[in-house]
Amino acid sequence: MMLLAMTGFAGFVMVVGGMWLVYKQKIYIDKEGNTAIGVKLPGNFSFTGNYPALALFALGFFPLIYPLHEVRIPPDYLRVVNVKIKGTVHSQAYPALVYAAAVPYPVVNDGDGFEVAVPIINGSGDYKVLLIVDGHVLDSQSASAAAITQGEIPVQFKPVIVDPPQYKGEIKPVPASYQ
Amino acid sequence: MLKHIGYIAGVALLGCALLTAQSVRDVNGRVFEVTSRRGIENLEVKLTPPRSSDLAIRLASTNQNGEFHFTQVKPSKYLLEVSQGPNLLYRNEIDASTADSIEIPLQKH
Repeated sequence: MMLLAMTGFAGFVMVVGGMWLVYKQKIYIDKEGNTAIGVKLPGNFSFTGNYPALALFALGFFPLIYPLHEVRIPPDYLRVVNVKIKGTVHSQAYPALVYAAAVPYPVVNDGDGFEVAVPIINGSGDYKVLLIVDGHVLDSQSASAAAITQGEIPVQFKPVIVDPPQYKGEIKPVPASYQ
Repeated sequence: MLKHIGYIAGVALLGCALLTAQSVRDVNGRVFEVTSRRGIENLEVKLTPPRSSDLAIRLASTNQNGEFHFTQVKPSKYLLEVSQGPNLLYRNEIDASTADSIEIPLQKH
């Protein structure tokens, strides 16, 4: 990364410096004559001493753009911006824990897998992974960021056995005003 | 003149008192097995106000008679849910401003 930054900086200096040299006409190879040196090539081509400045300007674009090309954001990578979800809890039941998940993964059948996309956390912190059924936390596991292999952290919940309900009643759908 | 002012102030105070008295009320209910009509204890009862409201979520448990009590509930519509552990047993919308005693019948599996 540092090398790319240095390359980009060098390209930037070349481009800006080339522009400045062209503007100032500061490239003189013939010191005695104090004029831009001329070079004649076969085919009736000729160059003056200003052309190195133009070449510097043109060539500078490569090291300037190459790092930008290399560090471009891949399409499957979400740029992580530090955002805080803030609020206040008023509850007579403590301690309370506040969790936030961008996209919880619904599991509807026994044995189904899950994949929850999470932002990358610095260092070797842990993610807290909760198994929630109808608002009840049935299991909680830690997923260590240090255990990332090929972009995945394996997590294994304990099997959960829930006694079937002893009673059943009328369950109406949740009205829109409560969702 | 002073008599009129005193009368108006008295009416205003009485109105405020009546409004305050009507602003909260108790909501009671009972969860029972429909055949035997026996109350079911240790169920979780939850009152959830609409999302747009800033009213509090209320939680209670049924006693040995299947009864639950919410005190000082502000009049509003609420979503009433009865759960047994992670199992949702009952859900319905109630109006706390009109509901005095809520009867929740459940069938045994």
